[in-house]
Amino acid sequence: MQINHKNTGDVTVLEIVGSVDALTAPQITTYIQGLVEAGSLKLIADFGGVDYTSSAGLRVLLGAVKETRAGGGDFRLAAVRPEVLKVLTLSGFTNILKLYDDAETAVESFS
Amino acid sequence: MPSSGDEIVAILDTLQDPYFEAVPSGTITLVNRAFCEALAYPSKEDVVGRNFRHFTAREDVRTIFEHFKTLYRTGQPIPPFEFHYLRRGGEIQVAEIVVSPILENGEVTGARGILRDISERIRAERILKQAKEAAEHHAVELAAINRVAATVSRSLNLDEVLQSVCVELTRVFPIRNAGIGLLNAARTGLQVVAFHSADPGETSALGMTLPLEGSAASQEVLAEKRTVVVQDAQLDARMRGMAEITRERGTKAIMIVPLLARGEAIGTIGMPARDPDYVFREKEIELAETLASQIAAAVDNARLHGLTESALDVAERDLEIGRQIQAGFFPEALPEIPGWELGARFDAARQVAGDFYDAFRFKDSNLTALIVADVCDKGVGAALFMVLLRSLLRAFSAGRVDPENVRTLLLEIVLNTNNFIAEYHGRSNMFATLFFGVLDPDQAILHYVNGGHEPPVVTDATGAIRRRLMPTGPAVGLFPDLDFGVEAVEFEPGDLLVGFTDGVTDAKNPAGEMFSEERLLDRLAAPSTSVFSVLFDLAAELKRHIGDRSQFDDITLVALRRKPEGEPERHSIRRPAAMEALADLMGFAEGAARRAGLDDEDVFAFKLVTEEVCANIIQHGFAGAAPGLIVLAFEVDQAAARLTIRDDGMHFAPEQAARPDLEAGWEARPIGGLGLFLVEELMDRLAYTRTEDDFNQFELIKDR
Repeated sequence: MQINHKNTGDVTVLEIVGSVDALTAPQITTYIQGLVEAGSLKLIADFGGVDYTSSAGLRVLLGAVKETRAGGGDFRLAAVRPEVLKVLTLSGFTNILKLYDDAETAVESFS
Repeated sequence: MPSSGDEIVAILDTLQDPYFEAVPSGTITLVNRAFCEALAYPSKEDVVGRNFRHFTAREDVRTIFEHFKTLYRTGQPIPPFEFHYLRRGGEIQVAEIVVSPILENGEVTGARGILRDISERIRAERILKQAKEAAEHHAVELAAINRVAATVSRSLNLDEVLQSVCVELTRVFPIRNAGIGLLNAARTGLQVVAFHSADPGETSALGMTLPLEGSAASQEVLAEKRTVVVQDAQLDARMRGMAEITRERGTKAIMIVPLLARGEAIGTIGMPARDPDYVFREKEIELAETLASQIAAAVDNARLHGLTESALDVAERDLEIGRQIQAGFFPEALPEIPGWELGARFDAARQVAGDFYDAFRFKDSNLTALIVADVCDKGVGAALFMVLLRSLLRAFSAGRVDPENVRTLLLEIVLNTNNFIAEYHGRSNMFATLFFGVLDPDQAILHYVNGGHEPPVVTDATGAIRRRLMPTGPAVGLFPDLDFGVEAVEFEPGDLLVGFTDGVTDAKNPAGEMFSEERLLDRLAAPSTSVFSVLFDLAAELKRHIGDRSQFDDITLVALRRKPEGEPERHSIRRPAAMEALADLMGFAEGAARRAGLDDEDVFAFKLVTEEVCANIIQHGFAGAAPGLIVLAFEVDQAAARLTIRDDGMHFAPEQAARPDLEAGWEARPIGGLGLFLVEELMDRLAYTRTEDDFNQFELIKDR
């Protein structure tokens, strides 16, 4: 799994490539917490490169939603692949998270 | 001595060889029983009294007449000559005939002769002639492969290489010219980058771009990635757009071979026959394809070279080229053998090395070759040598093999390869250890030559070592005419062969300790469920052992297993119930599901349920105590795919797990509690039992 981020105005776009699962969850959580602590509360995770996720990944997403919203921001997803979307839908996460077709649209959604 | 009389006739009838006597007019006066039988006449009366000419094939009537004339004139016997005789019903047979005169008072009064059946000898001669032709043809082929290989490896200047290759091609094939066309960037045409004509008067096509639009034949070659032979290029609709060029040059028969690099068609080689009406032979097409693969690799390497030159230093570029060469020579798919499992794994070293494996079915046969080899050195030289070795083994394996001649042929393949290397490449001082097995699946027997290679292990269904397949000869390529032996091992149901290279046993961990043969054997000493399971387990163990140390040598593993009758597809792995093992467990479930042919969605589902259940066991099953074991078993039949997960942790009560409230808002959703829910959603059936031997057992089933 690889994780990076870049800032577009006051929005931070996380790029994640690989699996978001029990093995990589701690690393992603730490990364997101670091951003939130540094004041980035408008977060987008570009999931275009994520081909797998499990309940451990869902926990990461829920944690990020809770932390950003608690500070008045949000955590949104972009470019989610069908196989990952299925897990989000089954678990009712599509009701909780805002999803966008691509990172650009997701960035615009904050303005 | 009288030439008649009952006694003599009786003696003559005991002769195996046909005997006759005739008078100068050619009329037969006496024959023995064998003569009648040879000519397929029921009795002597049918033959005696008729002219010898009557039993002579038309083509030999004149010769016979001359011979008899000489005999009567000189009174000397005629040395043996070949004689075609006509059997009753018109069939022509060949025999050797010896004729001597019958003399009375110094006068030649007749002739007597004996026919000797030489059909066996004729057949043997014919076979010998064919074998000689085949061998000569082979020598030409190998020499061509060799020259082209030498040409392409000599220089990195692509134009130069391709130009010399075209010259070689016009020497090897009965063609007027050879032109190499590479697809242009727009993929609309073939740019001729090299051209050579055997006819100095022919205009060079070098630099021309041949539009694809006008040549359906070239399009077909590129799209289908196979050779197309057009018999009349001037009339064939597939070459309509080229009509002018073909008429101008008098081209009719033309062979167009694809250049394939890493599975992609990058261009073609066009080779018009010197004789416009020539029909290209199957052998020539095969050879052209072999050569084309080398040429394509050269083009590909040169392109890689062009792309990377600015970024990489020379050494690293060489490595990349070597690695590419090597990668292109592994089989894309292993042969399927009903009742058997065959598998292989190859992990390339950071530095290029010379391991390789190969498996292929012999022509028109159930017999399947299984090869593991290790070239003595490392670096690009070793990779090139590996390519040579592999090509030689394949080329020498092109002959007909059947269960009767397999041992002789196997020996020939290895010996010819050895001699070729020793003779033509002796100066490079390269050699390789080689295990070459030929499986006869119907007899459940593997014939093998082991040329100084790490002895493969054969275990039975319980994991007990049955045999090590010890060397039957030295490493290949050291000296000509080395002594190799052929051995055989029979397979019982459940028997497993694992072949490996020293990259496995010598793999070092960060502390510098080798993986060791002991550990390999130890790892194999467990009941094996499938080749996939065994190879997955070994590869994972090796990876764990090596850790973050860079891998020094290639790691190659091959495995062959005789499936017990009616055994369903079943793969199984055992791991400690620890977080470090989770990646292995998930990877195993994913790989096994994919291997079993499940679709992407089901593969995803099995990977996910494995993670959820195993992570749960690891986190909660042992509650601070030392971690126990998790055993995964994946089984597939026509009706369903079933994953069984067993562990020896604490009793688990899935019914106690609360069902999550999917409608709840984000504030109310607890972090966690979703794993088991997802498992239930993704599987069709789910069963949990605490077994009698105190294991937790989950069965996760997806119907097909």
